[in-house]
Amino acid sequence: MADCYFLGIGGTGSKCVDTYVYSCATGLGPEKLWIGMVDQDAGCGNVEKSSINIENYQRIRKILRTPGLSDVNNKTNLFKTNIVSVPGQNNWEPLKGSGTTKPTLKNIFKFNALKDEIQDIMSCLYHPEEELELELDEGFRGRPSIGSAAILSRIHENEPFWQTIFNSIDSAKQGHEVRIFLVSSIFGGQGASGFPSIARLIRRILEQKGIKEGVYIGGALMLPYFSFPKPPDTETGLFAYSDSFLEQTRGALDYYGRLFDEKNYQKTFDQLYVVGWDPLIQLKTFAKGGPNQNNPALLPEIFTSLAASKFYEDKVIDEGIFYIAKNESDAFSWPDLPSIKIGDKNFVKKCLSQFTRTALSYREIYYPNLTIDKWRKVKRESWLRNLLTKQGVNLDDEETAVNLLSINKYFESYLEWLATMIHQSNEFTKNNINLIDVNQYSQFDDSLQGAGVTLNEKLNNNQLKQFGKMISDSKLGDLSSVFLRMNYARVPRDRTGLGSFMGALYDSCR
Amino acid sequence: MRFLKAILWLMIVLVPFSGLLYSLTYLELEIIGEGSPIANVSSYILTQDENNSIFTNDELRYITAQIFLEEGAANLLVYVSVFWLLISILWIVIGEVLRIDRPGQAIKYIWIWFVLLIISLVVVASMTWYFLYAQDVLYQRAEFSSVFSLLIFMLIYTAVYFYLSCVFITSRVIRSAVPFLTIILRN
Repeated sequence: MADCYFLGIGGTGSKCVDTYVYSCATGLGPEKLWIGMVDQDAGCGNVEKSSINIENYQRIRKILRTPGLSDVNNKTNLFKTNIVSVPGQNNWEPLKGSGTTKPTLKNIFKFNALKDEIQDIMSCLYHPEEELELELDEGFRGRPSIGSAAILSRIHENEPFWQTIFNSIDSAKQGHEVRIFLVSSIFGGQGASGFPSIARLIRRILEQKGIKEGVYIGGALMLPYFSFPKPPDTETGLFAYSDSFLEQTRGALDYYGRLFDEKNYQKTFDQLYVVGWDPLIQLKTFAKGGPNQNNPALLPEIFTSLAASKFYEDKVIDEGIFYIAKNESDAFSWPDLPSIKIGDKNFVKKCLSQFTRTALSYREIYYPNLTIDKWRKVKRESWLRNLLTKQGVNLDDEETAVNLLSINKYFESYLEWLATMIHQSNEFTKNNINLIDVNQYSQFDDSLQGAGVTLNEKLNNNQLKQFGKMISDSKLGDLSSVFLRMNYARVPRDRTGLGSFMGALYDSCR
Repeated sequence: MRFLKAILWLMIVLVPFSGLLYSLTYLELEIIGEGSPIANVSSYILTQDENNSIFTNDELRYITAQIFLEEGAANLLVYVSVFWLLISILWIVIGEVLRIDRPGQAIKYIWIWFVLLIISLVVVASMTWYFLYAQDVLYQRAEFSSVFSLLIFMLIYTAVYFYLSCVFITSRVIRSAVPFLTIILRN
């Protein structure tokens, strides 16, 4: 089993991290994964959301996969991936620790102390007022040239964030396989600069250490897939403008194309996935950075997750640039999601649908009956007796109550993420996304602040009756089938505690 | 598969229950009363009215006892067995058709179980009364008090059968709808 690393760079990268964490929850990820983000704007809403998601994921996984206490077992895909990132160290800010003054290129390179000729070169490369003195605490504002310089100047082997990757690279000398996957946008500032810079840096380290095989670098580049309104006149300074995305992308694609020309260029990526979306999804709000930059999840981001999973899953890495196109321009359905497993082309659909059904049935049906004040009413029912009481789960215990609540909250965040992704992207596919009917449990109002998605507080009977039809192109059982399976579920020997119940629910929602 | 299993269990319960009644009707068991079904009917069930011809005419009493077994008891057993089978299958089907989809829902259907139980008792009581006492060939040939005792026995027997069959055939999903079943079965 290879050591797998997933690195999201920049705002889009951190959104893709969020998506990949949810994908791991559904069972699409590898067995073990280190996951991290590179974003100068640590306070950015996207980074914060992804960091919280990683930590919540780790908490839930601990609840469900602590052998001896509570375990859903290794054969179950639910929260399969062991995300080993250190809590609180999920994000690396290249320019952190620059003191109370906000970092600028001038500060980073100690511009005033440089020789005159070097100052002249820097002044040629960067606009002396707009770029050299641009405050970089909230990112690089769509300027890859600034980002490259800033990032490369700060990556060190003794930086705790990078240590894990570099230590793992060392283990490749003993024949261990390492797979590193980078994700970013091609059109932004940090991502576009960090993506090739970090990949090249890793290659250089490999070269320095004399490692020629066993370490693979893959990446997914997001071509422009969304646009946002121009900044209001009241905002001043340098910003990212979505109007310039396509122009920036054209140049960058030419560059990446050359990276695969091994005759003239040193190889950087073993696999590169390029993801785009047409027409661009129009976001309603503009935020230059900070907590307000909390862009909604969008459907194209899921392709980066599938690309990463395929990269980790493949036994042999096929080198090249990969892309995929939709089958129909005005629709999006399950066959449009690429397969990640040879021999099981429905694996992605199975994982996503099974997890969604599990999340919804837990939220709507089972969790409300497991709270301290409610469980006694159903304490003699087979499912509760076999899957919880007999497994030693004390539902009066406060820790159990907190664990059940945490699982519910995670499922809710997943359902909200899924609904956001589909609602926000739907308009641009002529309301023809046929994957999961998120209208069954959520409402979308794009005039609202944020993602505009709210989960229905409690589904009524008519909505619950639609449960079996939630997954498009599938004949899956309704809630009564799930309840029936729950009542007849057998607990395998390697399932224990709360894991017995969650494993059975997951199996019952297949 | 689950439906077939339930049917199998149903047969396992039904066969001994009906079998016992058939044995009492057809087999010569030394330990039961006079040792023979005809003698038992003659001694314990047929009328003891001294003014009735079958009390004084032994041959007629014998023939009447035979008719009681062949036209009364045997028919009753066939109809009751079929009825038990049907009512149990109906309970299995109801368990499936209700499509219980959440915890705490099954207990709301306990009334259906009671309705089925009452139907079972009323139908079996009516059958017993008709086949053993009221049908033309046997009209008032049996002692009223004896038939009434038989009727009470059949009611108890039917109730026991219905509950026991429910223990084995009720889906776990609807188990709460059978009184005390979730206490008896702990799986």
